[in-house]
Amino acid sequence: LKKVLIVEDDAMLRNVYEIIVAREGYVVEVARDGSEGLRKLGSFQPDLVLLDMLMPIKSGLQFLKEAKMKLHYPKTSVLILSNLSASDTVNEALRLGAKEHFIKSNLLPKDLVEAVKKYL
Amino acid sequence: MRSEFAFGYRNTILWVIIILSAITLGLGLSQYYYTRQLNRIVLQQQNNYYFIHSLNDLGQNLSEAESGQRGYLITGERAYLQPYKSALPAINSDLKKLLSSQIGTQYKPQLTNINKLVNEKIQEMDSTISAYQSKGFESAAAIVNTDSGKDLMTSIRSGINSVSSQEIHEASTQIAMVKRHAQLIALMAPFAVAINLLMILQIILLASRAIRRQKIIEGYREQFVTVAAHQLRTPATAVKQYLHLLIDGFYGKLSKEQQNIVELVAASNERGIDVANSLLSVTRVDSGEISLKEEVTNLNELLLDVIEHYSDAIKEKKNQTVVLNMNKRPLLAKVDPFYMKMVFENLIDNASKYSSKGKKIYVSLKPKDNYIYFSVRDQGIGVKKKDIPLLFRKFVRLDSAFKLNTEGSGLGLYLVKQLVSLHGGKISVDSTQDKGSTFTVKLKQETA
Repeated sequence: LKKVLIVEDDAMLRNVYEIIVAREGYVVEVARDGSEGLRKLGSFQPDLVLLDMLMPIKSGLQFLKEAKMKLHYPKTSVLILSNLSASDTVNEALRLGAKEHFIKSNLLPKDLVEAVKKYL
Repeated sequence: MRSEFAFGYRNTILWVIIILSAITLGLGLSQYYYTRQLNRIVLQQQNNYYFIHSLNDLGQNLSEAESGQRGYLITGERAYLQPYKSALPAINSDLKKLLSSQIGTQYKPQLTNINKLVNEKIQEMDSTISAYQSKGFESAAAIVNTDSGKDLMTSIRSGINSVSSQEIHEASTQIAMVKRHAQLIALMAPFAVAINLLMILQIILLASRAIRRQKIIEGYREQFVTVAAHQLRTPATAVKQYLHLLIDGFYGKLSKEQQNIVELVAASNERGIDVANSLLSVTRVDSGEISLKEEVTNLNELLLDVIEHYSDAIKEKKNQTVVLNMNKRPLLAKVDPFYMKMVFENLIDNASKYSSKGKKIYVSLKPKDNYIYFSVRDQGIGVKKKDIPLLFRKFVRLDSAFKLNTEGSGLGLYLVKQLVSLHGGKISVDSTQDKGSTFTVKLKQETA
């Protein structure tokens, strides 16, 4: 069974992403910020991470910088879910190993499912 | 608090400016006063000069008359009477001038006395001449020998000298005053210049403070809009996900009515997201935060992308058809694809919004003279000629637009115009009320 980690600070969004992904039969774990995300990255060892960018305590960028995805988790894909559009932050995240960027307010559940399936 | 500090400081500068202005005003007024004084004295000096000149003339003319008289008496030559006779009217006119002049009133007793003596002198000379003519030399010599003429002449000379020296003294005190006033004015001038410079400095300081303050306020405002829009968009995004779980049948198929209602809610929620997105984009444009990542882009592909994405939705929502007029040959321009897409989307979306159901929307992309023209023509409500300049202003929604459609934030066209300008392009609009509008974007063409 493939494992998906959702790192998102907004409870409502976190909850709905969990519902959508879990319905597809994946094992889901959630984290409220980048710091909790880093801890669960180690303990849960997900195959895919859905990562928000603007979060308290540790941002999505800090998560990527500290996790060193390419080095320590070469098999884990990271997808950026953020409302930041084509900004430097997004480009930096892609450079740090994230696979793709989705704009949250444009994303429909079926798009999310499609994206998750593409990388798992 | 920061803002109170700023206000307090500005007040101090204002007071400094007011005080400096008062000083400058005082300096200006006293300079005016002293200059007028100078003017008055100079005029007086001129009178003074004429007065002294007339006194001298009087003395000289008298001497002339006397030497004429003496010459005639001694030689008997009538030619000597000529200077004597011509001197007499000159003496009279000198006396008249002296007595009637402004300065003359100050020396009235002395001048009256001189006048009297001069008349006596003339009488004495007259009587010697007539005695010579009627009774001969001896008789005239007798009168001359009384020395009354000589004494008269001495008294007149001393009278003239006394008035003249008094007047010269008066003139020299006035000249001393001129010197003092001129020094004062000379002293005030650099002082006034210095104060003026100081004032200009203060005003510049005040203006720069005001500008900086304005920028801070603008920054707060933008920050506020950004935070507000962001905070509104996040819950709306969550709502969107939940609603689509229902619409997509995650929880079983909805009845037709249920489906309708949920779709209405989703559409309404989508509008909220759109407004928040526009606000965020506008704020980014206004604050200069957008830095375009321009690259040579195939506009045909970019436009096809947008139309593919929009035409179905437009057909579905309002039964409108998008008609595309574009050649196969790719048209290249140096643009930021993300933002140029936003321009295309906004203009096509606008055309749809302000046209009624079933109308056509004509989109074209054409090259001409090294420029690319992207235009969107609709058969919508159009705009009154006088309203055209208002179209691209922020938050402007025309009355006519409200009649057809209450959606829209009044930000779309503003954003489009700003983005087109950022790309160095131009946007124009041609519109007839009730017939439709054509928006045209002009961009520089790149050659492959």
